[in-house]
Amino acid sequence: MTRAKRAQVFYGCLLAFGITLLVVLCWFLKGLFFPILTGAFLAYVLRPLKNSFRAPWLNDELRIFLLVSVMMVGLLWAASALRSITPGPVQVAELKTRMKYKFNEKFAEVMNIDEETKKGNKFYEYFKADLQPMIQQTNDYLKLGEEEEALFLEHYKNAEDEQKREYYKYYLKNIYTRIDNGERTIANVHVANKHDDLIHGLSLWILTPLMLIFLLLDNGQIQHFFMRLVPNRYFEMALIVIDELDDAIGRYLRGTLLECLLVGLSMTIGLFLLGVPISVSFAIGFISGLINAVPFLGPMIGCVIGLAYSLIAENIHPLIPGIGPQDLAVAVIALVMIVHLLDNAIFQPFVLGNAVNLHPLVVIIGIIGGSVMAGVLGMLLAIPTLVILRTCIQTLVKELKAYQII
Amino acid sequence: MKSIFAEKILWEVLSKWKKKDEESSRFDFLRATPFFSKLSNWQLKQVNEVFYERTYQDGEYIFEQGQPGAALFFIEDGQVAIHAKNKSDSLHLATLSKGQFLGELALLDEAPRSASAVAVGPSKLLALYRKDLEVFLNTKPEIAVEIYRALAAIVGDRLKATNELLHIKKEAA
Repeated sequence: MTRAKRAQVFYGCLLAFGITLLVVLCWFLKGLFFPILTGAFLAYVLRPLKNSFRAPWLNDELRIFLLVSVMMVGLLWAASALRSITPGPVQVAELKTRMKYKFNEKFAEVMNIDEETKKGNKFYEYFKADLQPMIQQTNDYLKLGEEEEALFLEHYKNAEDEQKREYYKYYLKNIYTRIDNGERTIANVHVANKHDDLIHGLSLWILTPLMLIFLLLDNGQIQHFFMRLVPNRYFEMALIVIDELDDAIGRYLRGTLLECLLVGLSMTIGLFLLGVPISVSFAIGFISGLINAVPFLGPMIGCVIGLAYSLIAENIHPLIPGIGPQDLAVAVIALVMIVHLLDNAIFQPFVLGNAVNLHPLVVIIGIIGGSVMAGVLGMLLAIPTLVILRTCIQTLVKELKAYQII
Repeated sequence: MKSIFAEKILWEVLSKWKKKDEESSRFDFLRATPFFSKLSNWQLKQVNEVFYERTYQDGEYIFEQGQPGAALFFIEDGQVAIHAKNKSDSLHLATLSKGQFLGELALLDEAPRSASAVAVGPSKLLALYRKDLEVFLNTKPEIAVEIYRALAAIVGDRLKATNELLHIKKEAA
């Protein structure tokens, strides 16, 4: 066996061992995947900021320390500012109570259900078997937990405020839809387990800032390490491929983040102008911005959440004249359409360019595939993953051809 | 500003007192090339961090004619033969040895290489990637300017030499 052949066998075995080890580690340490990925993503997105944040008297370590400190202080400040406008546990309990009551009320109204005979219109009678499990599921989802219930009773049971007493009536009405105590006991067990999971999950998320700091401190050492493994024949090509991928993926990720931020901000401002309380506007705006990363489905989900709120809206004070609680649903649909138009006409072309030029069919299959594989998170990550994969393949093929390898 | 001068002075002083280790011999090697002759030890340290060390076996290609260029190579050890292929035959242009450099035009753009470079015996080369130089232009402009100035001088000299050669050939004809 020649030396070249022996080297081939050795590197082949080493590669196979490395891949097996990576797969095994990924499987056993899958809990670490998202904290590490988040840290890496943040470091990647913030890298231009790190490069522009420089002064002649600052060395790299001090620069990163200052940048991370400024970020941490900024995050703490933003968190405390947001806490004052995000719905607290009492508001969440109130929203759930109102939503559950209004949902059942509107459903009974639309289906013309008689309270005594429990019989509705023909549509309801025909689809009763299909509709009831869905209604039950929605009611279960909106059911108050034990702590939420205690909080709600503490603030609303003997309240003097007229509105609060009205909401307490909703609560009493909702009790009739509650299922037996046995289920609540099971729910408590689940809550206890959730607390353990939460503490375990939080300890893993310590990795995110660590990952962020170490990756920000890296000045190409990681790339240099991996470049040592590249055969001489592909050295220059690998440099160009990595650079082009870094450029394209960086532009796409930063652009998407900025686009989501702009959509979320537009929704928040729009809902606030429609008279929705700032805490609820912010919550709906945040969710709409986050899921805007999912093409087609994002604006639809934003619209559904807005409509769900318009269902329970009672005392709104819109800054735009002529809008009352009964018009809110139409106004929310109009707002979602305006934000969607703004996104397509201004945000996307300016922020993203044509970075996301995927065929709609690919997008739909990708989203469904992502949701089947990893639920909501899979749905959110499907399109970025597809865009990154497409960019990798395109760049690799282009450079392999330029270097006359294929 | 005080700390930058203090750091620079510290580096200069330390480099004088330090024994000839791997890093200082690398600095000596780099300073012997036209690209880095005017850089201080402190600046050379920054440049040294972005170099890729590559080891080639006898007959192994460093780059091939027609491929896009990405990096400038410095021969730290060994020899490199430069060949240019015509339609039918291959022309040996030069053999470069320790301290010399090749592929400098790759620092300007991705234009195809005009000749191929092959290692003659085991060789060690240092590669400076174009994008790293572009990053220097934004982050450490004083280093990038020196490198580009040297590159401009080299290209200018080559142009003069080519013009003279053309002139001589024209007169001979």
